Amino acid sequence: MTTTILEATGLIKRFGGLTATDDVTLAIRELTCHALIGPNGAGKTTLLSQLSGELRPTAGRIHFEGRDVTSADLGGRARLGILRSFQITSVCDDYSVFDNVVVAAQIREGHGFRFWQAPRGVRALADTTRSVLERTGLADFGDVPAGVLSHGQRRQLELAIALAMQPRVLLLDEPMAGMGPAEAERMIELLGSLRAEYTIVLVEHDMDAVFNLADTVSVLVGGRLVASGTPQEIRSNASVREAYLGHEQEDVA
Amino acid sequence: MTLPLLIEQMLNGLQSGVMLFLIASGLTLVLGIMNFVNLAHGSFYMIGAFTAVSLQLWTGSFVVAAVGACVCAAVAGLAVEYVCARRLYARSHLDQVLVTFGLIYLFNESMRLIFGPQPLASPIPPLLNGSVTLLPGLQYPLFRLTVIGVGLVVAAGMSFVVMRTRLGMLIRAGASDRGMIAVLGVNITWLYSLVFAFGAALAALAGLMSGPLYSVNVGMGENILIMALVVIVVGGIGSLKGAFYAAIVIGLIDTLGRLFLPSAIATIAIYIFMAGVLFVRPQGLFAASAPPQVEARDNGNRVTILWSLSKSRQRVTASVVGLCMIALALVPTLSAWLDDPFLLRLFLRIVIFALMVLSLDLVAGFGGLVSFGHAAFVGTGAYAVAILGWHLDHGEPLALGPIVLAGTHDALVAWPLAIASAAAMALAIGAIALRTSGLYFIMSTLAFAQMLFYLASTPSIYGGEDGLQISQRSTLPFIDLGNRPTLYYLALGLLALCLLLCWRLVNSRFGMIVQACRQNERRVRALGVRTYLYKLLLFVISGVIAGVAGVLLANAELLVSPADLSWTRSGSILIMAIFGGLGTLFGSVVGAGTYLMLEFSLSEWTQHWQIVFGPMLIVFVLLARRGLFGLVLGRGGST
Amino acid sequence: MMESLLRLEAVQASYGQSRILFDVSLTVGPGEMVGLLGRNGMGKTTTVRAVTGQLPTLGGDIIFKGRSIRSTPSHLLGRMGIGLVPEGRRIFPNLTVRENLVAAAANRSGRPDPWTLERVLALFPRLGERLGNWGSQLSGGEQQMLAVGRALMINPDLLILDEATEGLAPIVRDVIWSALRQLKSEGLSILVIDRNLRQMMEVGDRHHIIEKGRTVWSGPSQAFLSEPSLKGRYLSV
Repeated sequence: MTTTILEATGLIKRFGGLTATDDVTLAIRELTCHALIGPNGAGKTTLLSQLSGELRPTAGRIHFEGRDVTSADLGGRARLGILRSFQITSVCDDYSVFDNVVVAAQIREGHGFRFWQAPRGVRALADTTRSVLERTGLADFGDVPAGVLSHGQRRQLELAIALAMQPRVLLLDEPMAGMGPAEAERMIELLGSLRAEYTIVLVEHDMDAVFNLADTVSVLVGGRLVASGTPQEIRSNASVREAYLGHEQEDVA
Repeated sequence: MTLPLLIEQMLNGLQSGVMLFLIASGLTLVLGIMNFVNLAHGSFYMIGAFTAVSLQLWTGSFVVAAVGACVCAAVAGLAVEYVCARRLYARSHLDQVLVTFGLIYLFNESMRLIFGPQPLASPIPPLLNGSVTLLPGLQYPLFRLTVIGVGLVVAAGMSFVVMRTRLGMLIRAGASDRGMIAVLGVNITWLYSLVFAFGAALAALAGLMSGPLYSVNVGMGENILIMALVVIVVGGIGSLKGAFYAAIVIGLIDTLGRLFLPSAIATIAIYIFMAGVLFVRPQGLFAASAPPQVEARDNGNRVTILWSLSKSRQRVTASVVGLCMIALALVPTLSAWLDDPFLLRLFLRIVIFALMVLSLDLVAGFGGLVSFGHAAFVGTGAYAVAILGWHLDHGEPLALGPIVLAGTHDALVAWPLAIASAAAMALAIGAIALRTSGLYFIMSTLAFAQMLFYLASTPSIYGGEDGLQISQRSTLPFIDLGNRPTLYYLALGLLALCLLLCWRLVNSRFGMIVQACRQNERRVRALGVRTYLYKLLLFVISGVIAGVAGVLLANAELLVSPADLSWTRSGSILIMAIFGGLGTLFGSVVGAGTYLMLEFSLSEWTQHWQIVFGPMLIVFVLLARRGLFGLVLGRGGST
Repeated sequence: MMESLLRLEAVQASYGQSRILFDVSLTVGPGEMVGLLGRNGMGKTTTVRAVTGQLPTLGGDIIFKGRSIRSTPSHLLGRMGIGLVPEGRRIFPNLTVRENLVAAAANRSGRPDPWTLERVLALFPRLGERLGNWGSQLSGGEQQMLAVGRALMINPDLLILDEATEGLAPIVRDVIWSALRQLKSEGLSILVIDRNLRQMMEVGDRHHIIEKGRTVWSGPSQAFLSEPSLKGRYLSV
């Protein structure tokens, strides 16, 4: 049994009268892939945003390697090694693929108040960048401006940027969204290859991906955690089926 | 101060407030609903004023004049919407700013052509002549009371239309969710035209009423436009209620400020107020429910940056840059050989303006921060040189708090001080303006620059509107700047140095982060970078370069005047930057050269050169999006 | 086979670079209620956006009342008689309930018994109590009733509902569904996206399942119910 790296305890997030996250307690074990699934509006992205530090929970704590990081913001947690990818791909369109990654690699090294040397020319940064591009299958696209990449490649780049930061935990928000079948398959393969080195929290609707990749699956419904377990356990869980199929399961089944 | 006087002044404030509201309401609707920045909105005010005066003189009827003016402006508004605005709704705010800037040139010059350069006096209609006794000892002009009345009635009428009629419902609904309105079967295009024309008519109404109060002259639209922009920024974009309250408050602050505050502060009181509001509420006081989608679109005018070009193209670029620099270095020789001193003057100006454009390109092209007040930093540097010289010449020490300076013409002292003041100004303005983004950023930089413009225009020992003469060029050991070619070579050397430093800067770690911020700030923040500090530092660096340009400008012209700080100057710098291509660095030289030579040759040809230049600018923005330097270099990588 | 009111033929569409619809075909006949099923993120909302002119299509054709509407702008579709209750409701928060209803109201098809404020309030009496409130002050359920009412006020021939009961309390959901039942009984054609399978099967006539941007199954309610494997394959985990 591996150790817990990221832990949420009694997490509650309210927006006005709406409780988007309702007393969620979740332990992410190190070097596993933990999938969050649930119907639309179940609060998956809201939960992910709290883990990444983008949203501050109304109540509850978040611990990273035993440290309380509840008050750290998105940037603060990125510096600790908790990196998120966005549902809508978020890369620098004018930059080449290489530059997108090199910027992340240099940010990882420390502050950017250096005004003379071009980071592209720095051996260590260029090496990191190249190995990350190799890893994410973008090695041949280094000089291509990110804006002209296909959707699937952009998502790969998004992942490459996160990897260049040498993260401990990757929070991925629907990495397969909008991909064609072939692209999705490549992405699943890529994520599979990362599983051994990184802890991954995955929000995804593509069930093929979820059951292929996840070691643990947690199901959210209406902001509540209704079930958590191995993919097999989740598949055979009656309350999960009900969550996905609606509330009148008994009537139709 | 007596009570009647106070009441009179408050009424004056109210009167100027309702006029501001008439301008600002149309502007804020167009901004809120169409997300369109119309700098030419002030032109409708001017058109209204001119049409009214001439109709009144011709027909003798104020009513005919008033109706005619509003109709005329509404037609102009429809034409502008149909010909230009419509094509720009989906484009960046920068494009919108440039096209409407071109429209200002066109409208101003047309008015000058039709009515001549002299201000027109508009008679008060006989019926409204005279004054009313409001209180014992308080006589108030009937016309001003009428203006207040009309303004309040229009405000009430608009409030009725917007709050009570179906049209108003659609307008409000359009401001919150344009797409949904269309899905419900409402033709947005038609709604847009209507709002545009209506806003123009309201501006004309203000214009025609301003005639008898102030003078009717070309350029009257610009001053009031800036005030209206301040109103909108304070009130919140798209909010009519915000525009109304902000207009009244600003009218009162402006009027009462002149009564109670020292004159230097009085002229800038409203800008200080705006800075305070922005500091507390970067979205204005009554921002419409959802701020208009402004981000992500301000990237339209970029071309590929030098280094990201292919190796062969880099060589081409380097050779183009090298040849240009050599050609520039030969100008003094050529000028002497042709015995044409004007050539040298023109090119000195080009080199200095290239520095200004470079400074702007750094923030706008690389940082994505469209500053519409860049002349302020240039002017700060120039004024610093002039002021230090003045104090030496007049033997009056300059006291800056505890520090007392004797004043100097010594470049080694004056120039660093001047550049530091420009940088400090950039720090102060940037610190507040960078709390905002998108449209609010464009407008707040504009307003702050305008604040400095009015400060410089205030009568003072430094010459006020007439500007400040400089008795001699700065002195340097071993180098005689009194010799124009020497000054030219120094300026060219500084330009080359700044180009080199900027080129390193934008490719450095700092530059990479700043550019990443422009493209996707959220992404960079998510990586743990405090982007505000980077943007602020970039702004200050840009201020330093602008300061260098200012120092050289002061030495070249030996005169600094408020015109050096004016928003038209800021606009010209922006146009030059676009001409050259944003984000190209060297495009600054191309842009400044093209603009100034064009201006020179057009003005040789006709004194109304702006009537040609305005439409050229409009066509340029509508058609060519990548700048001249971009065109010269051919297609870059990004699409 | 009756002439269909709306017909999608192999529609393809994408958001920028991201391809969402690959091959979506479906039909809605006059007076029919048709369900659009599928897991989240499979292209149901995108299909609706394509039909209502909010997203350009890349291929295929969309036919409404016998005319291709592939490149017809949104506002003309509204006038032709497509009424939308969009995902997320998108009511106008800065308009009152009454204003939301009447702002765009129209009876362009010259219906003899047009939808009026009174009729909408009779359908959703709750809205009557809230007429003067701002849209932003409504509860989720009230917003949803308002969104349905607003779409009815343009007197559509086809009503499209995208997740109209999402996130609502069961009792409110029942209000919406009974309204849909009534609308259907009055002969309105309805295309509905909803997760509530029981109601969908009871009220709906036919259904289409969309999976990864493709229509993978089409058939009437009975056929769906007699094939339990469909649920497991396309709708469940």
